[in-house]
Amino acid sequence: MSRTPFHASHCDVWDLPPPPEADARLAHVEPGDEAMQRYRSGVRPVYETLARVMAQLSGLFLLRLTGGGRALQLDHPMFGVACDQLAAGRDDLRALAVPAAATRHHAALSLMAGHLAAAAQAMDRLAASRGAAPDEDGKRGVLRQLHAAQGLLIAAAEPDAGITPIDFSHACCSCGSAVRLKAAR
Amino acid sequence: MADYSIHVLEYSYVPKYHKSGVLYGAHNQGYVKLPYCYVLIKGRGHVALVDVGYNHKDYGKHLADKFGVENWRSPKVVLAEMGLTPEDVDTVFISHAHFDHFGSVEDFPNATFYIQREEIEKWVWAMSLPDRLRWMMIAVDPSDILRGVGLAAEGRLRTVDGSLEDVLPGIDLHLAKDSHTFGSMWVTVRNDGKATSEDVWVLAGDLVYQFTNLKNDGSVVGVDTMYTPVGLALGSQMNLLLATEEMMKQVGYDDRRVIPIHEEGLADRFPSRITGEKLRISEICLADGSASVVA
Repeated sequence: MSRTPFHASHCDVWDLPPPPEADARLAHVEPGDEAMQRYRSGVRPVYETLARVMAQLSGLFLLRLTGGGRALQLDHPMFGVACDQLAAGRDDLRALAVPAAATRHHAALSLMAGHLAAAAQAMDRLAASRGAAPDEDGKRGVLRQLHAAQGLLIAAAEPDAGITPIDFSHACCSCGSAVRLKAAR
Repeated sequence: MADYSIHVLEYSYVPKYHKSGVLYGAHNQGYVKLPYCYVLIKGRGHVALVDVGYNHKDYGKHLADKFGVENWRSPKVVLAEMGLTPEDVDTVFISHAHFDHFGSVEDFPNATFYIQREEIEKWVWAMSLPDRLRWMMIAVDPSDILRGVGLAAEGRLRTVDGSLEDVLPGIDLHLAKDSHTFGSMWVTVRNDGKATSEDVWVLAGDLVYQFTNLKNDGSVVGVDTMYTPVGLALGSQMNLLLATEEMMKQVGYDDRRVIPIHEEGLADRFPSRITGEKLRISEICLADGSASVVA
């Protein structure tokens, strides 16, 4: 069971396989467990791709909602790029070898990718980046998919393994880790 | 005549932050305390904030354990020191989209938020770039952008294109394009309400971290003092300096009137007190008829 500060990935609200009996935290893979080590290193870039796609779709939708009659400067090409990256991320996700202990984690990301695809399709249907202002039902539909993706993004985070939606490495707080490491030596 | 009271409210801090992060080029000069704050502007029937802090629910423990961010307190606790609740806040100006400024939006259910459109547009673009350009995506939480979508769907998010005057009476927003971030924004308060004000305060966001960014030793280039940009410029140091010049021009080059929120030394310039939660409140100015909260 995860003890990360982000979430409760074992929560029943997620439509995911049951948690494995063993502690499956990616941050604490046993030294001899090569399958989990491979999974951990392979899944991180996929996770980051999906996180970025979520940000792109969210940002494009935000701009559409707040843009009034103004066309997006970065409109169609950016939507296409996000969709292409999502497709590539899903391919990479499918190509990963998934050890038993990571089944739930992998399923969470697969489900998340599905929600992002559904959000993108809903945005496309709405012509959200093409003209008419989206109707209330349409807005809610996109938001529902994006929120579901967000929940799974957080549920699948393993910050101690470097799998986190935010790159804190150059953030305002980033040097604290260096200070702490120095103090620990 | 002063329309607004302005207070800088600390909500957390990093005890030891590399000075080079605060001041460009200050390598091997040790550490400084870096307070995390937001700014409260109250008057003319409005309660406004500049920034809202980070989302502690998602990242608090991680930031504390890994990055040494200490003593976070919720907006509810921080604002209670001012006799306010988060529900009282009707307006929020987001200076930029970093997680520690744009995180806790859900805590303010009655507020309308303002952010520069440039900030969102270019983040979307940056997020699409290949991994070798990942440096351009630092410190932005995808979930914050999604929370922004939720605000927009409720009609509570306004994107601003450049400067916007009198967004509240006497309060203007200004874009510092490609500076600390793609679309950083500063807030100018003309506290006498006049178009040509003699009582201007600039709330600088992260365009200025500390006083030294405004008045640093200039002997290396043969002048008494000079502007020196903050350590992190996603855009350019030049644009940071040009924004600094513009902010200083607005306050008649009185550097005391440009307020940096990451400055521990605010307590030396302005009346301040430490709360029971061991966080600082600095009183920048008081509206006519308002009583001090730090006396």
